[in-house]
Amino acid sequence: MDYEDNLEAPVWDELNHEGDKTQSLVSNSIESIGQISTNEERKDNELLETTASFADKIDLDSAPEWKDPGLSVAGNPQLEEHDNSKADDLINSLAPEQDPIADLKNSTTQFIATRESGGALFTGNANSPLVFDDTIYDANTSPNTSKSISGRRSGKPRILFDSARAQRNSKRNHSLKAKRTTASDDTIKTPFTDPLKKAEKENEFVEEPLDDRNERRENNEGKFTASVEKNILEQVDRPLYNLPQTGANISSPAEVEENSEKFGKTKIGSKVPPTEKAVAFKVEVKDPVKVGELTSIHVEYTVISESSLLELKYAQVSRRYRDFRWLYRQLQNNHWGKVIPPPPEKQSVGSFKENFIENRRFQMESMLKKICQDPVLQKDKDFLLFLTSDDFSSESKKRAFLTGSGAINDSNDLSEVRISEIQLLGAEDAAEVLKNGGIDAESHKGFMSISFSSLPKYNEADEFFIEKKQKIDELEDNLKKLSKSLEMVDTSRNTLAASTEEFSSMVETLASLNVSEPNSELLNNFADVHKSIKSSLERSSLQETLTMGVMLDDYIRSLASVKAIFNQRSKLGYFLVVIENDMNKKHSQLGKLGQNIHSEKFREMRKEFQTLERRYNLTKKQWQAVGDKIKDEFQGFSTDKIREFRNGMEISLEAAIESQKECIELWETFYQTNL
Amino acid sequence: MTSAVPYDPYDDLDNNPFAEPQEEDSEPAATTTDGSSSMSEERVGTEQTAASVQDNGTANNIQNGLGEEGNATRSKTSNEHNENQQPSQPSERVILPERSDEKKKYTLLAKVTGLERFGSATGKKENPTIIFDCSTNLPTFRKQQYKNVKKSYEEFHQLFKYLNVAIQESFVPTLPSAYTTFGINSEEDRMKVTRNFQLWFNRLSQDPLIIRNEEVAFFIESDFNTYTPINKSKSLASGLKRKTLKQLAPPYDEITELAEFRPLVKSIYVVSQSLQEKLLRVSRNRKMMVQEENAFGQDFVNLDEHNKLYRRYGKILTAVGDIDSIIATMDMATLYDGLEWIVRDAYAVKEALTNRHFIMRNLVQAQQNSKAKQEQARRFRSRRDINPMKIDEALRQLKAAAKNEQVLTLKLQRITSNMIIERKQWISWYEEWIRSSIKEFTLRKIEYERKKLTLLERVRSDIRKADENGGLSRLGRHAVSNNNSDTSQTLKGDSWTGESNRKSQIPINKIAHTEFDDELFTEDDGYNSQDSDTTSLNARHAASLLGMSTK
Repeated sequence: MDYEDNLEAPVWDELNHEGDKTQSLVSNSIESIGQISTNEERKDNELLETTASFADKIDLDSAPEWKDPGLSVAGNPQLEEHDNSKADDLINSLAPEQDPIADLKNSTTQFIATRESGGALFTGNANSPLVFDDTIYDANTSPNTSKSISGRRSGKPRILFDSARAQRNSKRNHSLKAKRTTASDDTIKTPFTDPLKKAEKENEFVEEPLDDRNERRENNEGKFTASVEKNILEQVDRPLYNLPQTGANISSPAEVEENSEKFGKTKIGSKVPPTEKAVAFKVEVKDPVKVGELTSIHVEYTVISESSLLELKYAQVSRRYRDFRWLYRQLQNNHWGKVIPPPPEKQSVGSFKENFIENRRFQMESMLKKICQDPVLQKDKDFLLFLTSDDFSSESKKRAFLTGSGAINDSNDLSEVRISEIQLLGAEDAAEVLKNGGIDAESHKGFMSISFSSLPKYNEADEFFIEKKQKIDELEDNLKKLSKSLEMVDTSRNTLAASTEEFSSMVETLASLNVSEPNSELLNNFADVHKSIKSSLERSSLQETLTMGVMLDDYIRSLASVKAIFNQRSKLGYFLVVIENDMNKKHSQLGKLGQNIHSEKFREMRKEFQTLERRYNLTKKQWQAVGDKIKDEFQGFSTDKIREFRNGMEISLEAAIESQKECIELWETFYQTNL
Repeated sequence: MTSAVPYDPYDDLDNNPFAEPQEEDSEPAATTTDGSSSMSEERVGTEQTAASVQDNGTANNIQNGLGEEGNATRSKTSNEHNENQQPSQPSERVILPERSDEKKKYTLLAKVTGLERFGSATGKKENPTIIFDCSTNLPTFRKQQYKNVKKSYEEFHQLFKYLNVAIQESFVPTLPSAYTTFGINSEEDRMKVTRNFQLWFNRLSQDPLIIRNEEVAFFIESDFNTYTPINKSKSLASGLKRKTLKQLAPPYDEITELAEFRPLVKSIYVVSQSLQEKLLRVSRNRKMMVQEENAFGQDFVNLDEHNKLYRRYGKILTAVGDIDSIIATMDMATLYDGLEWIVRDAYAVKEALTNRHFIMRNLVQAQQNSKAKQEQARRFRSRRDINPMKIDEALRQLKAAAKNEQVLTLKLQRITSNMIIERKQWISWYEEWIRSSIKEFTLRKIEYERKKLTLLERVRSDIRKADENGGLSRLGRHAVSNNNSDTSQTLKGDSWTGESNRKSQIPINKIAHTEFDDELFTEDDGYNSQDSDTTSLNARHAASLLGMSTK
């Protein structure tokens, strides 16, 4: 029994309790599995709770968002209809701000859309899956119809999947049966009569997407006969996935980067499950296409994502490089003190060469993959917006403006940061501050003419940051050098390969003189060996670029991202000093006016002072929080990176050893046969 | 037998139709049982045909000589091949008397014993002194034994220059180069140059025409650094004249082998030269790569000075780079130097063949001349009123022309028949030499590629130790052992190949140790001892052992 079985087992087990009256189809073997895995079940439930509480947190964090009328349109109706149970919170947080037009697109129109194209099925942003279910099941009210649909469906996979998957297939059949249970449950009960119970039911299905996602993927990849029935069934399934799953790392498909996945596995295997786990998330960046003309020319990449976090589970959008930068900045702004997986560097020349595009695509894909493996980042609203939005150019601007992240005016340097006043002080106060030209502008006012030296300076008090910053700079320097020399090695290796080939063809020419039979044969073989050596050289060069080179490049860019969080800290510190300075000034002014407490001026002054004090406290709190977070992050970061680096070393060493063996073998064989 | 008698413009002039069958008759009597000699016999037969066709009435005696030449060649080859005891026919007219002695009557044996390099920097390199012993039974020498003869490269060169011009019949072997790519101070260089000179002497003494040349004796008997050719020889054509003559289409050549040989040798010359060029470029590019590899390794060392893993990895990378540099040198020393000799020799052979063309051209002219004279004589005969003075004059001219033609014919015959023999020898030398160069090249390559592998495998365990969960264990390769002796090259053979009985040509212990072991280990040991004092106390060190720097 493998781990996957374990994870699935509790589902069936619970189902048996819940739905044994309606369903006697569940097989005996599954029961036995269920017995074994009750432990897991408990664990899973715990995990659910933790994720749920986390979702709460997210909800609070993003509270200001909900004030925005445009954004809350979709979310609110749901809220009204549900209790304040945990599950509701989850649904809210995980079905984030919706497209206002989603409501319009909803229900029947959706059907048409799905028939037209596969992509539209998933990008067409359905509002609440719950509501959606209703519309469908209003149409097919009788349980029989739904049963027949699901029955048909359970037959379908057999055509879709090959025999090699027979084992899994049988498992899936069980799961399908199980699903049918819920389906019929849903249809029997009138929707929304008992939302709480429904939520419970959803909880039970936490594990299920494992199989279903595979299946879905196959459906997407294979013959996508977007039949209406199937569509309905997808709707049936959808609510099941709005909850975070556990054991994401294990269940995550092979696309997830191998290194970390395996590592995650061992970690999970050996340790107590961490408090937060990432939901399985699959992202793909592909099909770069050149778009536009002359000045507006750029490359667009198709970003395909699949996860239960997306309300349609599947999204396909096209994004350009600039948008990835936006995402980076936005995430940086949303999560202070967190190392954000960096996008590739900007490059103005030769950005339409095929190699470059492919390289960039790879780097952006790995960026997205890393983001979606992070339990915090993967739930970020802006990330989800990035993955799903159809009107990205305007929405991204709106978001950037709302958060004050400055993501639109992106600096070239990945390590440079901008601290959003909105994020720091809250929307209203920030508006005030911005009106006056930013936090530091206040200090500039009036002092400009006197002297610059009086400008407050931030001195990092914590030894940790100074030391680490230095270390990072040093490391970055060294890594850059290393990467440079690797590049040089690569270039020279390719030159060597080219000249080896020339040599080899010259040897062939000599052979073609046909001085004598054995001589020609010897020379021909000699030339062949050189050709093999040449291709071996090229291969190892490519390999080196793919392992060491990519890793180094990634490391360097990540360091820039690390530097960014240090900069966040120092910038906050700077703001802190500025505000403190202002506050002290106001305080002394206040003291001077102390005699006439009731005067208009004093009251105004006191109000100003209080604002400043509030700002000071907020900033200080953030400053400290960021500092703490950085310490946490940094430890994890360096451990991860060093592990990755070491792995890179090992892989490239093994590759070198293998190619060395190949080389020896070539020469030995040549020697044996010819000399 | 090349049955078709080559077209000859003077065919109609043949006034001695019986000469040929006569010769043919005489031949079988002398035919040996030796199969290999029959080939040359046939060739000689062709030669005879050609020669007899060319001859006019006065050439009868030459034809007799030809017959003897045929026999002589035969006996010579049979002597060479299986020491067949066949009495040679003593005759002054033998075309190649030098090759006619049955059991190598005259021999010259030289054994190169040493090499000295002294003097100025360039002198050291370009002009080494070769020391050799020599024993001979040639009458041109005063003694039979010569010990510790010292000759500078310059003297050798003088000798070669003289011989190359003076002995037009032979492909005089060119000198090997005075130095190798190993570097003039290395032992390998010394051995290689010594060996090459030995090979040269061997080739030289195989050629009876050369060793009989008295200049060889002068060379050996002269004191160190005093030899200059005593006889003067003049090249057939040199400088501009030679260049111009070479532009002309080669004269018709009845001997297909030799006719085809020159373009072949020329291509060998040209291709080998560009091959050298390519090899040089490969080697240069490899050296460039070495620089980058070293820099890469060094950067690894610099990455974190306190991290032993990075240090070691960097060091190993650097050492691997150094081995690459050695490989680059070895490529040059084996194949490039080998090709160098081929290039030189091919050039010499090509020029010798060119000289033959010149002589052929001269012969054609002489034939035309004698024909003209004959015509003149015939005209005189038909007239009644002849001035006896004129007749005398015409006769003298006719005789002179005939004589000239005869001399040239003889010379050409000598050259042709000798070259036919030497052509084979040269081709087999070429094959053997290129084979041995490639062999040496391959052996060196294997040796150093194996050393590279040894080095790489040495650091493997270090990396693996750093993280048990990491690396390839992720790919399910838990089984790989962790001990240091994890090498794939053992006495039993290579772990990666199924052929267990196949053993490498290079002894294991030679591969298992590289030139850089000392450097790598002494430094590491020093580092270890320095570290071992603090190991138990220093958490930082513990972390660094785990491959994580404590940043």
